[in-house]
Amino acid sequence: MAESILTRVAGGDQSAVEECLSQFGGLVWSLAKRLSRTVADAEDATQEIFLEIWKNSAKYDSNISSEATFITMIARRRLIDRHRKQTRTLDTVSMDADFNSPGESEPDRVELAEEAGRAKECLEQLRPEERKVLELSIFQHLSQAKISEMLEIPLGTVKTHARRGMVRLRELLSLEPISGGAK
Amino acid sequence: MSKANSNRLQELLIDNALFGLDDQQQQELNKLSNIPSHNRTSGHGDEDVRADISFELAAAAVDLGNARSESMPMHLRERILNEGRSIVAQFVKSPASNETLTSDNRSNKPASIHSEPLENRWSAGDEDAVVERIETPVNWREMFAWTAAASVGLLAYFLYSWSDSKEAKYEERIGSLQATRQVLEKDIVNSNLVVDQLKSAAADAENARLNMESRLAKLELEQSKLSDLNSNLLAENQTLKTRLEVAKPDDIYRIVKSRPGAIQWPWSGGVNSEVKGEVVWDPEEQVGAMRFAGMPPNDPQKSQYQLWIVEEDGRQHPVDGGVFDIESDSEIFVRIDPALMAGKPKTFAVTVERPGGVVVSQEKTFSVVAQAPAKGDGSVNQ
Repeated sequence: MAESILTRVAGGDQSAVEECLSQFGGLVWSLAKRLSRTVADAEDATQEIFLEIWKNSAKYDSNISSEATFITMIARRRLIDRHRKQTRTLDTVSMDADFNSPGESEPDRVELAEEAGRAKECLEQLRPEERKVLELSIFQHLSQAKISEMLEIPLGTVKTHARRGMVRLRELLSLEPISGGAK
Repeated sequence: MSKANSNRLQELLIDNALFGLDDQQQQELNKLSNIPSHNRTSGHGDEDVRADISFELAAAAVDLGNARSESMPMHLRERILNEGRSIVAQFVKSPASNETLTSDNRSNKPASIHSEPLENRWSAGDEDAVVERIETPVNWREMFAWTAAASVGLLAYFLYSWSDSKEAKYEERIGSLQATRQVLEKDIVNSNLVVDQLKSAAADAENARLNMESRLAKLELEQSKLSDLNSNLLAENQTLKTRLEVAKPDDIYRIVKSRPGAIQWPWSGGVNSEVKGEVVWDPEEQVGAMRFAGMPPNDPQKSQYQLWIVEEDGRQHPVDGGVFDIESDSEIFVRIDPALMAGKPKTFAVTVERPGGVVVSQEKTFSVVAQAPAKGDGSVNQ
C-alpha cells in the first residue's frame, strides 16, 4: 500500500509538501474563505492551517480517517478558534458573498472521501430537528445562541439536539472514542 | 469517572467539535480527559495531547461532504509551499523534532522506537559493548564531552530553526516587496507615458508659439511696410500739394489734366461763345485751372471776372471760385481758388462783377459756362 501524503510529509519528503498543497489547498482555502471576513484574513487562516498540518502530519493514521477528513478537522479547529476570537467583539457576517475573486474558476465539489459521503448519508438518517441544528453549526458556524434565536427554540433544546445528533452521527459513522491527537 | 463527569465530558467534546470552547471550558475538558497540566493549554491545535477527537472527526466528515474546492491565490500557495518545505526539511535533519510536535506519538508508538529493550537495539556481536557501556563507571571527561556535544547540537538546532524562520519571513517580505516593485514599475511605465504625452503637448504648444511669433513678426513687418508706404504717400501727397500751391496756373492745368478722376469740361455756353478753352478740376484735391483763348480783356479798375461753381446737391448759392483778370485775348491760364469746398460740381460759370468780386452774384448773364457732359462722355479722366 502506497504511503499517504501526510506520512511522507512527516518523513521529510519535500515533494509531498507540494502534492499535499495541490490536493488539499483548494479545500482548505474554501473552508478558510467561508469563515473569514476578508481575503487577507482567509490567507492568514490558510497559512496557519497548513502550518498545523505540517506539524501534525505524523499524527495521521489512515486506519482512523481519510487524509481529507483529518485535514478538514485541523482546518475546522483553527478556523473555529479564529472565529471565536473575532466574534468576541464583532457579529458574525456572511463570508461567501464577500470575495469571489473575478476570473476565478467556479468552485467544484471536492471529491468526497469515503467517510464524507457516508457522513452525508448518516446526516440524512438523523431526526430533522437534530440534523437542522448540526447543519447550522457545522456549515454556517452559528453559535448555540444564534441557532436558538433562528429556530425559535430554547438554548437548552439546541444543546440537547446537538448532543443527541452528534452521538448518533458518531455511532452511524462507526467512530469509537479516540484519545490523543488523531491517533 | 462518575456518570455526571462522563456526561459533562461528552458535552464538552461535542461543544468543542461544533462551536469551540472558551479557556475555562478547555481547562475543564483537559481535566476531565486526564490531560497533564503542562498540556492544558487554551485554544485548539497546539496541544501535544488532545482529548477524544471522534466528535471532531464526525463533524469534519460532515463538513467535508458539503465542502467546495477553489483555486488558492498563487502568491499564497507559494508562501505556504516555501514555509512547508522549510518545516519539512527540519524533519529530515532532525527526525526527533517531528516527534516532539506529536507527543501523543510518544505515548502511542513507544514500542517501535524507544521502549525497545536497550540490548535489542544492538546486534549479538555488540553485546560486550553493551555490557561495557552499562558497567563502566561514570567518566567525567566523557560526560563533559557528551554534554558539550549536546549543547552544540541544541545551539545548532536553535540557530537553524531561527535562521529558517528568519528565512521564511525574509522570503515572505521579498515576495511582498517584489509585488510592490511590480506595482511601482507599472506606475513608472504609466507615468512615463504621461510624461511623454505632456512632452509631446509641450512641443506642440512650443511649435504653435513659434508659428504665432513668426506670423506676428511677418504682420509687424507688413505693418511697418504699410506704415512706410503710407508715410511715403503722405509725403508724396504733401509734396504734390506744395507743388500745386506754388505752381503756375499753366503747370496746374497740365498736372490736374493728367490726374485720374479729374474733370475736363470745355467752355460751351455764355455770351462769349467764341471763347475756347476748358476747366480742369480735381474734386479730391480741390484744385484746378481754367484755360481761355479769345476771352475779352477786362479793366481791373472797373470790373473783374468771377468764377462760380454750381454743385449737384443743389446748394442754395453757387460757391465763389475767385476773381481774376484777363489781360489779353490770347491763351491765358487762371488758377481756380474756391472760397468753400466744391464737392460735386455740375457747372462752372464766369460772371463780370465789380472789382474784388461779390459774395452773391446778381448777374443774370454768364460770360462763359462749362457744364458737366451727358453720361458716357469721356470728359472725366479714368
